[in-house]
Amino acid sequence: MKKILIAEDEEILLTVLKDRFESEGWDVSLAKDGEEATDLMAKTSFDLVLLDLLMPKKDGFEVLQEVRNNPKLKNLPIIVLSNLGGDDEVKEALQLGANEYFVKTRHSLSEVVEKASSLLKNISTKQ
Amino acid sequence: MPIRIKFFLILLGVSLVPTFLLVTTIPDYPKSIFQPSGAFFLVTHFTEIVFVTLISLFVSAYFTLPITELRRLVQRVKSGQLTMRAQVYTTDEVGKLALEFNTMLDTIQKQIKDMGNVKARSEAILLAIGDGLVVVDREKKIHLVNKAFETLTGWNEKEVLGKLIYEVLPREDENGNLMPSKDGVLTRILGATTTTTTTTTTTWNYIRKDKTKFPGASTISTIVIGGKIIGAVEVFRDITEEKELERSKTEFISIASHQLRTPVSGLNWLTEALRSSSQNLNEKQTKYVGDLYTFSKRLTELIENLLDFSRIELKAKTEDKSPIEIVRFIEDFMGNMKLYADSKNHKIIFNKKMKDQLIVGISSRALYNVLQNLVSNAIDYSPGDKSVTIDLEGFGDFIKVSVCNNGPTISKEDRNHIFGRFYRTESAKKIKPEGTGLGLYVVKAVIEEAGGEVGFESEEGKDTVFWFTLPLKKAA
Repeated sequence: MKKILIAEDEEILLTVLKDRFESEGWDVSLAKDGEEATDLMAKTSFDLVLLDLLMPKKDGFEVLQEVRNNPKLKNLPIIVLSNLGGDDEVKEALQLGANEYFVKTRHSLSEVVEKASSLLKNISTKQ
Repeated sequence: MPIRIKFFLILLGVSLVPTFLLVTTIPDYPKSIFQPSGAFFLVTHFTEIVFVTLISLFVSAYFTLPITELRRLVQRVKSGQLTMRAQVYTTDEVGKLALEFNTMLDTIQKQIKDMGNVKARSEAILLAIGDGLVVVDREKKIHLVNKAFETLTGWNEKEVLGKLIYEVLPREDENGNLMPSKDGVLTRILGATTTTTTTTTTTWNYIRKDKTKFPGASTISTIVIGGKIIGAVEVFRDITEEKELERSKTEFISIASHQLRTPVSGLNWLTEALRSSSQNLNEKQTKYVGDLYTFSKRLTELIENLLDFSRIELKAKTEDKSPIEIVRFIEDFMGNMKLYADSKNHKIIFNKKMKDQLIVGISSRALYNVLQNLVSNAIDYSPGDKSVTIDLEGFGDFIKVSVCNNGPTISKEDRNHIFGRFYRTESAKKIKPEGTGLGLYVVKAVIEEAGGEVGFESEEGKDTVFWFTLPLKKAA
């Protein structure tokens, strides 16, 4: 079973994402802030992380930076799923090492799941 | 020779003619003056000469003095003493001349005073103008500045007169590039061959004497006298407050829109989740969920447009011009729009008219929004059960994307305004009353920013087509 970590501070969004991923057969872990997310990533090995940017304690940019500086997590696939849609933010997140960037309002739940699966597939075929 | 001497010599000559005749016509006359009785003649002649000389002197002085006086007066007037007047003693021609001269002086003095008043008034008006004002000659040297100029720039009049305008008041464009002094607006309009006044309006950042800057709106016009450009006048004002106001307004929209994205995506996703479990819902509930989905999509569109609109207004730089493979992008986009099209009983058809992989350079977010605006318009404005087509063609270094539907023809009066900000056509108000009038404005702005063009074709009895072009990116 593929393991995903969803880091999102908005409870309702977190729940609806969790339900959807679980219904598609994923093993879902949840983090409500950036700190919880990095702690979980250090303990558990995930196949994919879905990361919000505006979160309490540690924002998504800091999480990205920390993860990419950690040799163990350097190659962990991360999809940013955020409200921020400015070109500057997209650019910054991609430069910090996000594999994909989605603006929440622009993608349906099924697309998010689909893109997550295809990202994993692409990575595994490359490897 | 002064007239008085001439006058004197003539009088003297005329008076001495009898004596001269006497001396020259009587043969013994010269000798006789050495006779005893001759001594009397000598005395008589001498007395006569003295007497005649004195009389001539007096007479010449009497008649020429007023003329000499007038001459002196003219010299004084010439040196600027306009209040001087001729002292008139006689009533003859010379006296009349002096009187006329005095009247002339009165008139001149009055006219000069009037001109002075007009000039003072014009200067007072110039100085009182609340906007900065500077007049330059053809060499761009400062000729005149007003009080507001001094206040706005920190320079005082004495420091700047005769200096080059660009040295005194340099200016930058909005990207911080210093405006060239040689090829600037002033050079262009001063070099114009036209003999009528040219006016040009620009906004830029002025640099004050103390090197601080302020945004200013300026109007520069040529000064034309007798068909020749003799200089230019620049009027400018500080627009810091207007800019600030505009910024805070658009910033507010931007922040509000970001905040709105969370509940809206919640709404979208929850509705989607409900739809996917619709086997547990009855028919009415399924319809409600469908309607809910339509509304949440509409809300999303509105927020995305507001965001793009405020971004355009803020002139945010779109640096993210990552290469986009256009065919794949449109196919992905169609996947996202399918639910919306289904909800309106429409089909979206994609016609690729070329085979190559075509790469364009534009922010993916912006391109997505362009397609979303055009395609959702096409769906909303065409009658049910019709299909909307997206045509993709290659034209040299450009691609052209056309979105066609069977919607209403665009009226003549709407044609010029349809890409305008907040513009809504009459049919748009009827068919889609909830629209913002921002969609096409945003489309035009982002496409033009990316180096493309937008347009439309709409004729009675034919499909309405909205198209845009984008430059192809050369493969690296």
